[in-house]
Amino acid sequence: MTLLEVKNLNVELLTKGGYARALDGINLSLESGEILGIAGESGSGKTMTALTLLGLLPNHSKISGSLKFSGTELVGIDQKRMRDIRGREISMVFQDPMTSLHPMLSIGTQLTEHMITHLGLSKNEAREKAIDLLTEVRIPDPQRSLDAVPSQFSGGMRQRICIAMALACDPKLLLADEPTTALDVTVQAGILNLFRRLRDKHGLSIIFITHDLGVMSSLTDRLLVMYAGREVESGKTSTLLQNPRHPYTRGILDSLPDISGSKKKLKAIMGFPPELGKQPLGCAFHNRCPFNTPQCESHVIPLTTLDSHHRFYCDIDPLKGDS
Amino acid sequence: MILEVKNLSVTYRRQDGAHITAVNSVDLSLDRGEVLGLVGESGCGKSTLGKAIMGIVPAASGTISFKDNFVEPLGRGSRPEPLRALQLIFQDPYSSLNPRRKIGDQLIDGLINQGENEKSARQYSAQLLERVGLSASALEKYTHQFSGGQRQRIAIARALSVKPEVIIADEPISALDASAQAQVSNLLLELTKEFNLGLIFISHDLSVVRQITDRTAVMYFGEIVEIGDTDVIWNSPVHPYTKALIEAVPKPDGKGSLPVELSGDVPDPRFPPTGCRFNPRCKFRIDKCTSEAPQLFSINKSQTVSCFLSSTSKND
Repeated sequence: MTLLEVKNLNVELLTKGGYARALDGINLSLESGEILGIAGESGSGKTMTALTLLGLLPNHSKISGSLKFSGTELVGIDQKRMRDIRGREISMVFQDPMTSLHPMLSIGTQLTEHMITHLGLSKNEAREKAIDLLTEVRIPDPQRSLDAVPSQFSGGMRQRICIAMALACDPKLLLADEPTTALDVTVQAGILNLFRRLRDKHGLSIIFITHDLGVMSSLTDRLLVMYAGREVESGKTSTLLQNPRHPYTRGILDSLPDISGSKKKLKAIMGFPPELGKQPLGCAFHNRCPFNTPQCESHVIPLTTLDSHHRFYCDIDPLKGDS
Repeated sequence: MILEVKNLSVTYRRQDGAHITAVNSVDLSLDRGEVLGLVGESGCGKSTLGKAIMGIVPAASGTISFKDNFVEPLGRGSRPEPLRALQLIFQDPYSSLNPRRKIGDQLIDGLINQGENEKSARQYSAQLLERVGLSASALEKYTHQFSGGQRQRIAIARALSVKPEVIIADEPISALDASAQAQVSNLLLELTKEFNLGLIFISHDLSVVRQITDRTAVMYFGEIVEIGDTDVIWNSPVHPYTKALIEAVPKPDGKGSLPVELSGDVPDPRFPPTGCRFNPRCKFRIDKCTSEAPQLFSINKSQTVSCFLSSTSKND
């Protein structure tokens, strides 16, 4: 069942120099129980996509296109209705567990607050459920943890608490924005295993945002690569990582250091992405692309579809005959 | 050998009065032109070790010698002349550069302190900016006009301005994007060779350390548990902690295998475990591990490990 269907989503933000396009024609869909990864550099629009889904865009933003979540159109929905969906049906885990928890309030208070608001549970019911949730995310001694404050937990444990909080109202969709970037690899491994378990056990759909393709490879089913507010390539994670077609995707894969195998010089992508609102009509990556032709910048790049999943926006296709 | 650390320990006194040993009897050495990686989880003492080598935090015991001068903790006075060639690059270029001063003014400080006149200091700063991949016009700009990767390049240029011989880079790429990470790591590596510098690269990103360093030291709970040639350590790690770190790195191979979890947390520093510090989390623990602390010893010419299992397997 398709849980989320995004069609031709455009978002413009009000900046000092007028409106600037932050998301440009994004299409994506997500099935129940699927984990979709969104990858890209900072400023590529990954977080903006998540904030749009949550209805948390800055004031005076312009949004067009369609965003259908579980049969409900979210573009143009009234704020009151959105408040019911946000936190209850769509919830979010942020990058930094140090700042997304209130430092002075007990874990119990923070965990039960929105269960009482959204689900109408009594204080005791909510507390019972909070203990179950902390057990689920493997916080040792959940009963006692409810009365502790965030500073008594390590970074990894805090992120587990944030995940428990996001799960409190049994959401259908969990948005996770770089949830492991601030953590050590050993702790990250634990959190990734937790996300996988939640999906397998509860059929939770997850949109996982990160720039780390290693993390994407281990966790996600499908991958969307974004650049300068646009999609550049999407497909099944395995296909996309093993056979990337867009020069940008190939570039980031080549720039990654390899933990095993022989030592090599890291191949960096030279140059910088365009500023917000200064994307060209054609390919936004053209100035950094090794296969760049004069047409790349000036004409709208058509979508190339390889199969029902794998597609990319590049019509040079330097890899023709290569694969 | 340009830098030598012998038996260095650093202790902190926490607000609650507890004494914490952040770095415990560490030995290290560094040659010119060499890149040494220092890896471990947060809280393992790698940053403290870096700062102690710089003389920013006082050592409780042990010595640090840089070009045959002892590094003493910095007081109120200026840094002794011979130690100026020891420089530090911080993790976060957003907070290590001054937002209210022009880049040029920040770059020439060090040179003017060394007695250069302003004009030649500016000229040299412009050259350095160009060397790190920025244009000389950056001299007249402010920090906010640059991206994270560009700011880190400026911080590198500033460290280079006083003609350093050893640079300690504390998580220099952690705050940057993937493509900027590759650019900045490559730049550091090139500069190391070009200026014949010694570089200590502190990072929790193991795959970058794997790619750019000559030697790697793995730290756990204030101690070095394994040190040796990077190629050897990453291809055949011996210490169970090193193995666990490597297994925890997700690989972008599209195969969908989840990284292996290392159970347990770093122990409370007030109550260090007896015996081997890693034993509560170790899959291969034997009785001896809980009672006796293993010592570092060389298992071959390029690898030194502190683990009983490596010695038993060797004696077998």
